[in-house]
Amino acid sequence: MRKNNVDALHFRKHLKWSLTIIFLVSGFILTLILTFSIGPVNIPMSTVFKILFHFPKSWPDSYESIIMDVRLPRIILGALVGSGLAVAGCAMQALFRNPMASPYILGISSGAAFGASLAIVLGISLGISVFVVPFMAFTFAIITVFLVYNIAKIKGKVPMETLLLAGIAVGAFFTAQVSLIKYIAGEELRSIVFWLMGGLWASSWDKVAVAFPLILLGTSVIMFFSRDLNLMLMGEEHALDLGINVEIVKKIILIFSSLVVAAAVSVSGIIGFIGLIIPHTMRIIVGPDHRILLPSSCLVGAIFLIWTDTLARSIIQPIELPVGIITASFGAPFFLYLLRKRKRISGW
Amino acid sequence: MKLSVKEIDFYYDSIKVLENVTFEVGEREILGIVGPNGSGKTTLLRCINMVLKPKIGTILINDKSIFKLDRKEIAKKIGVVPQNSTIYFPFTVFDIVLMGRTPHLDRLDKESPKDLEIAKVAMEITNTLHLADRLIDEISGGEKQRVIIARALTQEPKILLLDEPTLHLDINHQLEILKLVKKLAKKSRLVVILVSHDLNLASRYCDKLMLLSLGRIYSIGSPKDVLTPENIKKVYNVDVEVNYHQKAKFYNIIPLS
Repeated sequence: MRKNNVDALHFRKHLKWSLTIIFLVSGFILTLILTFSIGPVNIPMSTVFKILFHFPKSWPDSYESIIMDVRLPRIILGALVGSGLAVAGCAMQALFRNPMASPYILGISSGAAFGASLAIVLGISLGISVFVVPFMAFTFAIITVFLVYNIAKIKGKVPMETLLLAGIAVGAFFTAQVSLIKYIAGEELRSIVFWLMGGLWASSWDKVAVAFPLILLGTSVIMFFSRDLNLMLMGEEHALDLGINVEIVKKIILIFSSLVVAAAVSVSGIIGFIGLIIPHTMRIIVGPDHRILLPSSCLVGAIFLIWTDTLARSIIQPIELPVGIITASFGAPFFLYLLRKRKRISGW
Repeated sequence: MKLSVKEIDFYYDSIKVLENVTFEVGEREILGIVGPNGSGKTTLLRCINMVLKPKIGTILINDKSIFKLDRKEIAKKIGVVPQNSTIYFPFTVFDIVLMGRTPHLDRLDKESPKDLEIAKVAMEITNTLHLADRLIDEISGGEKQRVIIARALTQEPKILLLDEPTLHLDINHQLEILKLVKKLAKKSRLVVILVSHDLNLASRYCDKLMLLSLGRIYSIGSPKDVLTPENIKKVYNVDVEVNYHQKAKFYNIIPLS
């Protein structure tokens, strides 16, 4: 291979990356356009467009309310949660160098579930406001990560294996407490089960206001460290040799991933599959370099959740299915197909 | 360019693993660190690039201590070829070599033509340019080792550390790697330190040897002076004969029992 061939190789790679991003961004915009008009009330796309851009009014009041108060926040939240879980899941897989890592690997979902269940059980009996559940879920998610991190820390260093095991143990503990609460709960049990299944049906602008800054900030920071994550894949020793301050990078990635996941879980419950499988899917398609893998996973995560949520709320009208059922039912077969199709045997 | 290591003591928890290690290596010089398992060879190497922090002692490059430098600064001066390089992910060889530019780049920087050129030159020197678009986990052990050396060279270091560079390689690849290392030291004016358990190869390719035993320097000097039957008996508890091979022009160690 001659020297100028190598240059061509490099140029082509970056060209492919740019095209991929353009393609995915277009897909995202298309998703937004299409899903706005789908639902129990079919609103034609032209009308949606007119409503969003404040054209002179020519539609019934209910249309406006549906688009602005119901669908818009829900679709935005879908984009935020989908992209957040995908990016956090990808970061965890790199940090732990473990293909089974998901955004919930530090027991964060169990902690959030405990907080939410507690809030539901106490809230309904004490009549506390509806914002307590997301707040408690978020708080306990953060407490859980803090706990797990400090349990695993030895002399200022955090070995990943210890972190993993601590996360499993603390997660198991909180899961048991959730079971206890479910057992004791009376009529609140239904609410708890619904919360645990995860979904975007209770979307509101308040939730968007909370999730938007946290998820935007968190995913941006994670993507900023793309090169570091590439090097961490080689092993901590290699990363150190190449100038990465591994313990600091680990801390930053863990903190911001946790913020993203805590925010996502507090507004939408525990939606599985996305954080684990979307990164793997994108890794098969675009490769392991996080400079393309993270933004791709982000966009595909958003697109995927918006579509599956749209399906969840319109497949059996007027019933709404929990979105987690749709994500796994449709996502898993597709992923298995990709798994069989790929030519490589080694690597994930 | 001179690397000075002075009076290094290193502890794993409360166990003293290195004691009073002092030596110097200049540019164009290859120092071989040899010794039995557990003598502290790899630990010493990890102390030199500050991945491990010695309890006492100093490490100086051109008489300036490197203790206060951050990891990025150290990576610009010292390149490391570690023992194990199993990389499971489908990065291309060129991707891997280009990672050597990391210490010179900010996080949001894209690699410039200069960075690409440095990587290409490194691959030419290590005879890996023809592998540029191959995937890292599909090439042979010897090729992979040369790629990692290319990556270290892309850091533009003044000092190259190699931990058992010929482990698990066939004899032809072993010789190829060591010839390359020798060429790098002489032509690129690097300070080279390599750790090896292979006494014959080390004595053939290194200018100076340092025999470690239980964390202390047992002997340091030319291969002929260090690898004597007496020293080897004391450190390895093995009877050997050391012969000078006329045709190959180096000393060969032959176990007697």
